[in-house]
Amino acid sequence: MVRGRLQSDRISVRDDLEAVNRLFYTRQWTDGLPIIPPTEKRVQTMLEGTSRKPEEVVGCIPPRWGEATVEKIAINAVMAGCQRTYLPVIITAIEAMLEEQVNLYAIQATTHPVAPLVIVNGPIVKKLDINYGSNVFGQGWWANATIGRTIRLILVNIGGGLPGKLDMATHGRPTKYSYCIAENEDENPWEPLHVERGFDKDTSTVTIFAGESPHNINDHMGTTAEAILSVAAETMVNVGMNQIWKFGGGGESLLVLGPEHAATIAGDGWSKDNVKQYIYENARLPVYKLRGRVMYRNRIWPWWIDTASDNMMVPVVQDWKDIMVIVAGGPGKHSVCITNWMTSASITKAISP
Amino acid sequence: MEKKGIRTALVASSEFAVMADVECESLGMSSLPIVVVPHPVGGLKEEAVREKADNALEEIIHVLTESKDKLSQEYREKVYTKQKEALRGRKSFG
Repeated sequence: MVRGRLQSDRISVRDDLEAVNRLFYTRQWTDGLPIIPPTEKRVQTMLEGTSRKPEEVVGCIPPRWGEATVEKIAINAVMAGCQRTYLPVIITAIEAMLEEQVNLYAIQATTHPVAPLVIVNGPIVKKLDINYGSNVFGQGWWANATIGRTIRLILVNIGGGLPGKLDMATHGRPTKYSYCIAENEDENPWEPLHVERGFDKDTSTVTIFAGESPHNINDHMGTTAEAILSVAAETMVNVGMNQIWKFGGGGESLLVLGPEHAATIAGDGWSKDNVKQYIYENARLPVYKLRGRVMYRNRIWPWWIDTASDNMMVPVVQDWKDIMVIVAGGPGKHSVCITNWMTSASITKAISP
Repeated sequence: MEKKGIRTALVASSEFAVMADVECESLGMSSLPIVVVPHPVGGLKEEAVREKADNALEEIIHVLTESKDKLSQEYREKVYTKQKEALRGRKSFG
Protein backbone atom coordinates (compact mmCIF):
# COMPACT_ATOMS: atom_id res chain seq x y z
CA MET A 1 0.00 0.00 0.00
CA VAL A 2 1.44 3.36 -1.02
CA ARG A 3 1.50 5.80 1.91
CA GLY A 4 1.76 8.93 -0.18
CA ARG A 5 4.64 10.48 -2.04
CA LEU A 6 7.87 10.20 -0.14
CA GLN A 7 9.82 13.39 0.40
CA SER A 8 13.41 12.15 0.55
CA ASP A 9 15.85 12.78 -2.26
CA ARG A 10 16.14 10.08 -4.87
CA ILE A 11 19.59 8.79 -5.74
CA SER A 12 20.21 6.78 -8.89
CA VAL A 13 22.57 3.90 -8.39
CA ARG A 14 23.42 0.94 -10.56
CA ASP A 15 21.12 -1.94 -9.62
CA ASP A 16 23.85 -3.82 -7.83
CA LEU A 17 24.10 -4.49 -4.10
CA GLU A 18 27.82 -3.80 -4.01
CA ALA A 19 27.43 -0.54 -5.90
CA VAL A 20 24.79 0.66 -3.45
CA ASN A 21 26.90 -0.28 -0.45
CA ARG A 22 29.99 1.32 -1.93
CA LEU A 23 28.04 4.57 -2.32
CA PHE A 24 26.43 4.49 1.12
CA TYR A 25 29.68 3.60 2.82
CA THR A 26 31.73 6.33 1.16
CA ARG A 27 29.02 8.84 2.07
CA GLN A 28 29.24 7.66 5.70
CA TRP A 29 25.61 6.58 5.85
CA THR A 30 26.32 3.19 7.37
CA ASP A 31 27.67 1.66 10.53
CA GLY A 32 30.37 -0.06 8.55
CA LEU A 33 28.26 -3.12 7.84
CA PRO A 34 26.42 -3.71 4.54
CA ILE A 35 22.93 -2.22 4.38
CA ILE A 36 19.74 -3.16 2.62
CA PRO A 37 19.18 -0.59 -0.17
CA PRO A 38 16.28 1.67 0.84
CA THR A 39 14.35 1.57 -2.40
CA GLU A 40 11.04 3.38 -2.58
CA LYS A 41 9.18 0.10 -2.59
CA ARG A 42 10.95 -1.16 0.52
CA VAL A 43 10.39 2.11 2.37
CA GLN A 44 6.70 2.10 1.45
CA THR A 45 6.43 -1.46 2.75
CA MET A 46 8.21 -0.50 5.95
CA LEU A 47 5.77 2.39 6.46
CA GLU A 48 2.91 -0.12 6.54
CA GLY A 49 4.18 -0.99 9.99
CA THR A 50 2.83 2.24 11.46
CA SER A 51 -0.36 4.24 11.23
CA ARG A 52 1.59 7.48 11.50
CA LYS A 53 2.05 9.64 8.43
CA PRO A 54 5.42 9.57 6.70
CA GLU A 55 5.79 13.34 6.87
CA GLU A 56 5.20 13.49 10.62
CA VAL A 57 8.24 14.86 12.47
CA VAL A 58 8.97 12.66 15.46
CA GLY A 59 11.65 15.05 16.65
CA CYS A 60 15.04 16.59 15.91
CA ILE A 61 18.08 14.46 16.62
CA PRO A 62 21.10 16.11 18.18
CA PRO A 63 23.78 17.20 17.77
CA ARG A 64 23.03 18.11 14.19
CA TRP A 65 19.32 18.55 14.94
CA GLY A 66 18.24 16.74 11.80
CA GLU A 67 14.49 16.18 11.45
CA ALA A 68 13.51 12.61 12.14
CA THR A 69 10.36 12.16 10.12
CA VAL A 70 8.57 8.83 10.14
CA GLU A 71 9.78 8.44 6.55
CA LYS A 72 13.43 8.99 7.50
CA ILE A 73 13.09 6.55 10.38
CA ALA A 74 11.60 4.01 7.98
CA ILE A 75 14.50 4.49 5.56
CA ASN A 76 17.01 3.71 8.28
CA ALA A 77 14.92 0.75 9.40
CA VAL A 78 15.05 -0.67 5.86
CA MET A 79 18.81 -0.16 5.77
CA ALA A 80 19.19 -1.97 9.08
CA GLY A 81 17.18 -4.94 7.84
CA CYS A 82 14.09 -4.48 10.05
CA GLN A 83 10.74 -6.08 9.59
CA ARG A 84 7.96 -3.49 9.33
CA THR A 85 6.39 -4.72 12.58
CA TYR A 86 9.39 -3.32 14.44
CA LEU A 87 8.70 0.25 13.35
CA PRO A 88 6.44 1.25 16.28
CA VAL A 89 9.13 0.12 18.73
CA ILE A 90 11.74 2.18 16.92
CA ILE A 91 9.58 5.30 16.68
CA THR A 92 8.72 5.10 20.38
CA ALA A 93 12.39 4.59 21.25
CA ILE A 94 13.34 7.72 19.32
CA GLU A 95 10.56 9.72 20.96
CA ALA A 96 11.71 8.52 24.36
CA MET A 97 15.36 9.38 23.85
CA LEU A 98 14.45 12.87 22.70
CA GLU A 99 12.89 13.65 26.06
CA GLU A 100 14.99 16.23 27.86
CA GLN A 101 15.83 14.02 30.83
CA VAL A 102 17.64 11.54 28.59
CA ASN A 103 20.04 14.26 27.45
CA LEU A 104 20.65 12.70 24.01
CA TYR A 105 22.86 15.58 22.90
CA ALA A 106 25.40 14.77 25.56
CA ILE A 107 25.17 11.05 24.90
CA GLN A 108 25.88 11.64 21.22
CA ALA A 109 28.79 14.01 21.62
CA THR A 110 30.66 12.83 24.70
CA THR A 111 34.09 11.24 24.82
CA HIS A 112 32.68 8.70 27.29
CA PRO A 113 31.51 5.31 26.09
CA VAL A 114 27.71 5.33 26.14
CA ALA A 115 24.84 4.12 24.00
CA PRO A 116 21.09 4.25 24.56
CA LEU A 117 20.00 0.78 25.72
CA VAL A 118 16.50 -0.07 24.51
CA ILE A 119 14.62 -2.32 26.96
CA VAL A 120 11.27 -3.65 25.72
CA ASN A 121 8.47 -4.90 27.97
CA GLY A 122 4.96 -6.18 27.50
CA PRO A 123 3.15 -8.41 25.01
CA ILE A 124 5.03 -7.02 22.02
CA VAL A 125 8.15 -8.88 23.19
CA LYS A 126 6.77 -12.27 22.23
CA LYS A 127 4.81 -10.93 19.32
CA LEU A 128 8.00 -9.65 17.68
CA ASP A 129 10.25 -12.39 19.13
CA ILE A 130 12.60 -9.97 20.91
CA ASN A 131 15.16 -11.99 22.83
CA TYR A 132 15.05 -11.85 26.62
CA GLY A 133 16.76 -15.13 27.46
CA SER A 134 20.11 -16.74 26.72
CA ASN A 135 22.62 -14.44 25.03
CA VAL A 136 20.23 -11.53 25.53
CA PHE A 137 22.97 -8.94 24.90
CA GLY A 138 24.46 -10.93 22.05
CA GLN A 139 23.71 -11.82 18.50
CA GLY A 140 21.14 -14.09 16.89
CA TRP A 141 17.72 -12.41 17.05
CA TRP A 142 16.41 -10.45 14.08
CA ALA A 143 14.48 -8.01 16.26
CA ASN A 144 17.22 -7.26 18.77
CA ALA A 145 19.88 -6.87 16.11
CA THR A 146 17.96 -4.67 13.69
CA ILE A 147 15.97 -2.51 16.11
CA GLY A 148 19.19 -1.60 17.85
CA ARG A 149 20.96 -1.12 14.56
CA THR A 150 18.24 1.23 13.30
CA ILE A 151 18.64 3.40 16.39
CA ARG A 152 22.34 3.76 15.69
CA LEU A 153 21.83 4.53 12.00
CA ILE A 154 19.32 7.23 12.95
CA LEU A 155 21.74 8.74 15.45
CA VAL A 156 24.37 8.84 12.71
CA ASN A 157 22.39 9.72 9.61
CA ILE A 158 19.84 12.11 11.07
CA GLY A 159 21.65 13.24 14.21
CA GLY A 160 25.02 13.61 12.57
CA GLY A 161 26.79 11.41 15.12
CA LEU A 162 29.80 10.57 12.96
CA PRO A 163 32.78 9.18 14.86
CA GLY A 164 35.45 11.76 15.44
CA LYS A 165 33.34 14.55 14.03
CA LEU A 166 30.29 15.04 16.25
CA ASP A 167 30.46 11.71 18.10
CA MET A 168 33.62 12.24 20.09
CA ALA A 169 33.75 8.86 21.83
CA THR A 170 37.36 8.07 22.61
CA HIS A 171 36.86 4.34 22.13
CA GLY A 172 33.17 3.77 21.63
CA ARG A 173 31.78 0.32 22.37
CA PRO A 174 30.39 -2.65 20.41
CA THR A 175 27.00 -1.67 21.89
CA LYS A 176 26.98 1.21 19.44
CA TYR A 177 26.22 -1.28 16.67
CA SER A 178 23.06 -2.44 18.41
CA TYR A 179 21.81 -2.30 22.01
CA CYS A 180 18.32 -3.70 22.36
CA ILE A 181 16.93 -6.32 24.74
CA ALA A 182 13.68 -7.36 26.31
CA GLU A 183 13.10 -8.16 29.97
CA ASN A 184 12.60 -11.80 30.92
CA GLU A 185 9.14 -11.33 32.40
CA ASP A 186 8.52 -15.09 32.46
CA GLU A 187 11.30 -15.62 34.99
CA ASN A 188 11.04 -12.32 36.85
CA PRO A 189 9.89 -13.13 40.41
CA TRP A 190 8.82 -9.50 40.93
CA GLU A 191 6.85 -7.02 38.85
CA PRO A 192 8.49 -6.20 35.52
CA LEU A 193 10.05 -2.81 34.88
CA HIS A 194 7.09 -1.27 33.09
CA VAL A 195 4.63 -2.31 35.78
CA GLU A 196 6.99 -0.94 38.43
CA ARG A 197 6.87 2.33 36.51
CA GLY A 198 3.10 2.49 36.49
CA PHE A 199 2.12 0.82 33.23
CA ASP A 200 -0.36 -1.99 32.91
CA LYS A 201 1.18 -5.42 32.45
CA ASP A 202 -0.47 -5.72 29.05
CA THR A 203 0.87 -2.38 27.83
CA SER A 204 3.99 -2.71 25.72
CA THR A 205 6.72 -0.22 26.52
CA VAL A 206 10.20 0.93 25.60
CA THR A 207 12.67 2.07 28.26
CA ILE A 208 15.77 4.04 27.32
CA PHE A 209 18.80 3.81 29.59
CA ALA A 210 22.04 5.56 28.65
CA GLY A 211 24.58 2.94 29.52
CA GLU A 212 28.14 1.76 29.24
CA SER A 213 28.65 -1.79 28.09
CA PRO A 214 27.29 -4.62 30.21
CA HIS A 215 29.74 -5.85 32.86
CA ASN A 216 29.52 -9.39 34.19
CA ILE A 217 28.63 -10.18 37.79
CA ASN A 218 29.91 -13.69 38.18
CA ASP A 219 28.77 -15.46 41.33
CA HIS A 220 28.63 -19.25 41.39
CA MET A 221 28.95 -19.55 45.17
CA GLY A 222 26.13 -17.50 46.68
CA THR A 223 23.12 -19.39 47.98
CA THR A 224 21.57 -16.41 49.72
CA ALA A 225 20.34 -13.02 48.57
CA GLU A 226 23.01 -11.18 50.51
CA ALA A 227 25.82 -13.36 49.22
CA ILE A 228 24.89 -12.73 45.59
CA LEU A 229 24.16 -9.05 46.04
CA SER A 230 27.38 -8.42 47.94
CA VAL A 231 29.25 -9.51 44.81
CA ALA A 232 26.94 -7.37 42.69
CA ALA A 233 27.49 -4.30 44.87
CA GLU A 234 31.28 -4.60 44.73
CA THR A 235 31.18 -5.07 40.97
CA MET A 236 29.05 -1.99 40.47
CA VAL A 237 31.67 0.37 41.91
CA ASN A 238 34.91 0.52 40.01
CA VAL A 239 37.06 3.59 39.85
CA GLY A 240 37.22 4.67 36.20
CA MET A 241 33.68 3.72 35.25
CA ASN A 242 31.46 6.44 33.85
CA GLN A 243 29.47 6.97 36.97
CA ILE A 244 32.21 7.59 39.44
CA TRP A 245 32.30 11.33 39.12
CA LYS A 246 28.61 11.58 39.89
CA PHE A 247 28.91 9.45 42.99
CA GLY A 248 26.31 10.46 45.49
CA GLY A 249 25.03 13.14 43.20
CA GLY A 250 22.91 11.72 40.46
CA GLY A 251 22.58 9.19 37.71
CA GLU A 252 21.22 5.68 37.85
CA SER A 253 22.76 2.25 37.91
CA LEU A 254 21.21 -0.77 36.22
CA LEU A 255 21.36 -4.27 37.67
CA VAL A 256 20.29 -6.98 35.24
CA LEU A 257 19.76 -10.09 37.33
CA GLY A 258 20.08 -13.41 35.61
CA PRO A 259 17.02 -15.58 36.32
CA GLU A 260 18.89 -17.96 38.63
CA HIS A 261 20.27 -15.16 40.78
CA ALA A 262 16.83 -13.51 40.82
CA ALA A 263 15.20 -16.77 41.95
CA THR A 264 17.67 -17.17 44.84
CA ILE A 265 17.21 -13.57 45.95
CA ALA A 266 13.41 -13.68 45.75
CA GLY A 267 13.46 -17.11 47.39
CA ASP A 268 14.92 -15.45 50.49
CA GLY A 269 11.88 -13.21 50.58
CA TRP A 270 13.63 -10.12 49.22
CA SER A 271 11.57 -7.67 47.22
CA LYS A 272 12.94 -5.59 44.38
CA ASP A 273 13.05 -2.60 46.73
CA ASN A 274 15.11 -4.66 49.21
CA VAL A 275 17.57 -5.34 46.39
CA LYS A 276 17.81 -1.67 45.50
CA GLN A 277 18.28 -0.63 49.12
CA TYR A 278 20.98 -3.21 49.67
CA ILE A 279 22.87 -2.11 46.58
CA TYR A 280 22.54 1.53 47.61
CA GLU A 281 23.95 0.81 51.06
CA ASN A 282 26.78 -1.37 49.83
CA ALA A 283 27.80 -0.16 46.37
CA ARG A 284 30.02 2.58 47.75
CA LEU A 285 33.56 3.81 47.60
CA PRO A 286 35.49 5.72 50.28
CA VAL A 287 36.25 9.38 49.67
CA TYR A 288 39.99 8.77 49.54
CA LYS A 289 39.56 6.62 46.41
CA LEU A 290 37.72 9.44 44.67
CA ARG A 291 39.57 12.50 45.88
CA GLY A 292 41.70 14.08 43.18
CA ARG A 293 41.02 11.30 40.69
CA VAL A 294 38.77 10.50 37.75
CA MET A 295 36.76 13.72 37.31
CA TYR A 296 36.95 14.93 40.87
CA ARG A 297 37.04 18.63 40.10
CA ASN A 298 34.30 18.46 37.50
CA ARG A 299 31.49 18.51 39.99
CA ILE A 300 30.19 20.08 43.13
CA TRP A 301 29.97 17.40 45.75
CA PRO A 302 26.68 17.11 47.68
CA TRP A 303 26.70 18.90 51.04
CA TRP A 304 26.45 15.68 53.00
CA ILE A 305 29.69 14.25 51.62
CA ASP A 306 32.58 15.28 53.83
CA THR A 307 35.36 15.31 51.25
CA ALA A 308 37.91 15.72 54.04
CA SER A 309 36.88 12.43 55.57
CA ASP A 310 38.98 9.71 53.92
CA ASN A 311 36.75 6.79 54.80
CA MET A 312 33.34 8.30 54.33
CA MET A 313 31.56 5.86 52.01
CA VAL A 314 29.96 7.51 48.99
CA PRO A 315 27.03 5.70 47.30
CA VAL A 316 27.05 5.11 43.57
CA VAL A 317 23.75 6.99 43.17
CA GLN A 318 22.00 9.71 45.10
CA ASP A 319 18.97 7.71 46.22
CA TRP A 320 18.20 3.99 46.47
CA LYS A 321 15.36 4.46 44.00
CA ASP A 322 17.95 5.33 41.35
CA ILE A 323 19.07 1.71 41.30
CA MET A 324 17.19 -0.01 38.47
CA VAL A 325 16.61 -3.74 38.61
CA ILE A 326 15.41 -5.93 35.76
CA VAL A 327 15.64 -9.66 35.03
CA ALA A 328 17.04 -10.87 31.73
CA GLY A 329 19.21 -13.64 30.38
CA GLY A 330 19.20 -17.42 30.43
CA PRO A 331 20.45 -20.20 32.68
CA GLY A 332 23.70 -19.65 34.55
CA LYS A 333 25.06 -18.00 37.68
CA HIS A 334 25.62 -14.62 36.13
CA SER A 335 24.10 -11.19 36.34
CA VAL A 336 25.09 -7.94 34.68
CA CYS A 337 25.60 -4.38 35.78
CA ILE A 338 25.46 -1.42 33.46
CA THR A 339 26.60 1.92 34.69
CA ASN A 340 24.80 5.04 33.65
CA TRP A 341 26.19 7.98 31.76
CA MET A 342 25.63 10.19 34.78
CA THR A 343 23.74 13.18 33.38
CA SER A 344 21.03 11.14 31.74
CA ALA A 345 17.88 9.76 33.35
CA SER A 346 16.06 6.72 32.02
CA ILE A 347 12.54 6.96 30.67
CA THR A 348 9.74 4.50 29.87
CA LYS A 349 7.13 5.11 27.18
CA ALA A 350 4.18 3.15 25.94
CA ILE A 351 4.50 1.90 22.38
CA SER A 352 1.88 3.29 20.04
CA PRO A 353 1.17 1.76 16.61
CA MET B 1 25.29 34.08 25.09
CA GLU B 2 26.04 35.88 21.81
CA LYS B 3 22.33 35.89 21.02
CA LYS B 4 21.77 37.55 24.37
CA GLY B 5 24.17 40.30 23.44
CA ILE B 6 27.07 39.14 25.58
CA ARG B 7 30.33 39.12 23.64
CA THR B 8 31.86 35.70 23.85
CA ALA B 9 34.97 33.95 22.67
CA LEU B 10 34.38 30.30 21.88
CA VAL B 11 37.54 28.35 22.59
CA ALA B 12 37.86 24.79 21.36
CA SER B 13 40.74 22.37 21.31
CA SER B 14 41.95 21.31 17.88
CA GLU B 15 40.32 17.88 18.18
CA PHE B 16 36.95 19.45 18.96
CA ALA B 17 37.02 22.47 16.66
CA VAL B 18 35.27 20.63 13.84
CA MET B 19 32.48 19.63 16.21
CA ALA B 20 32.15 23.18 17.48
CA ASP B 21 32.01 24.48 13.90
CA VAL B 22 29.31 22.01 12.85
CA GLU B 23 27.28 22.77 15.94
CA CYS B 24 27.50 26.51 15.26
CA GLU B 25 26.25 25.85 11.76
CA SER B 26 23.39 23.73 13.06
CA LEU B 27 22.38 26.56 15.39
CA GLY B 28 22.46 29.16 12.60
CA MET B 29 25.72 30.76 13.72
CA SER B 30 28.06 29.52 11.04
CA SER B 31 30.35 32.54 11.16
CA LEU B 32 30.86 32.47 14.95
CA PRO B 33 34.61 32.77 15.58
CA ILE B 34 36.25 29.75 17.15
CA VAL B 35 39.59 30.20 18.86
CA VAL B 36 41.46 26.93 18.46
CA VAL B 37 44.06 25.76 20.96
CA PRO B 38 46.17 22.62 20.58
CA HIS B 39 44.59 19.49 22.04
CA PRO B 40 44.42 18.45 24.84
CA VAL B 41 43.50 21.04 27.45
CA GLY B 42 42.40 18.55 30.11
CA GLY B 43 44.64 16.35 32.19
CA LEU B 44 47.60 18.71 31.87
CA LYS B 45 49.81 20.27 34.47
CA GLU B 46 48.89 23.85 35.29
CA GLU B 47 51.89 25.41 33.58
CA ALA B 48 51.02 23.68 30.30
CA VAL B 49 47.46 24.99 30.48
CA ARG B 50 48.70 28.50 31.23
CA GLU B 51 51.03 28.36 28.22
CA LYS B 52 48.14 27.43 25.92
CA ALA B 53 46.00 30.17 27.43
CA ASP B 54 48.78 32.73 26.97
CA ASN B 55 49.22 31.74 23.34
CA ALA B 56 45.50 32.10 22.67
CA LEU B 57 45.04 35.35 24.55
CA GLU B 58 45.68 37.70 21.67
CA GLU B 59 43.11 36.00 19.47
CA ILE B 60 40.59 35.88 22.31
CA ILE B 61 40.93 39.61 22.83
CA HIS B 62 40.56 40.14 19.10
CA VAL B 63 37.33 38.09 19.05
CA LEU B 64 35.93 39.96 22.04
CA THR B 65 36.71 43.44 20.77
CA GLU B 66 36.63 43.46 16.99
CA SER B 67 33.39 44.38 15.24
CA LYS B 68 31.08 41.46 14.60
CA ASP B 69 30.89 42.24 10.89
CA LYS B 70 34.64 42.05 10.45
CA LEU B 71 34.85 38.89 12.54
CA SER B 72 32.09 37.35 10.48
CA GLN B 73 34.03 37.99 7.27
CA GLU B 74 37.26 36.78 8.81
CA TYR B 75 35.90 33.54 10.21
CA ARG B 76 33.11 32.74 7.75
CA GLU B 77 35.26 30.73 5.36
CA LYS B 78 37.63 29.38 7.95
CA VAL B 79 38.03 25.62 7.72
CA TYR B 80 38.75 23.95 11.01
CA THR B 81 40.79 20.81 10.59
CA LYS B 82 41.69 18.33 13.23
CA GLN B 83 45.17 17.82 14.52
CA LYS B 84 44.98 14.23 13.49
CA GLU B 85 42.79 13.12 10.63
CA ALA B 86 40.19 11.28 12.65
CA LEU B 87 37.72 11.28 9.80
CA ARG B 88 39.43 8.42 8.02
CA GLY B 89 38.65 8.65 4.36
CA ARG B 90 35.95 6.22 3.55
CA LYS B 91 37.83 4.46 0.80
CA SER B 92 35.77 2.56 -1.68
CA PHE B 93 36.70 -1.03 -1.98
CA GLY B 94 37.94 -2.45 -5.20
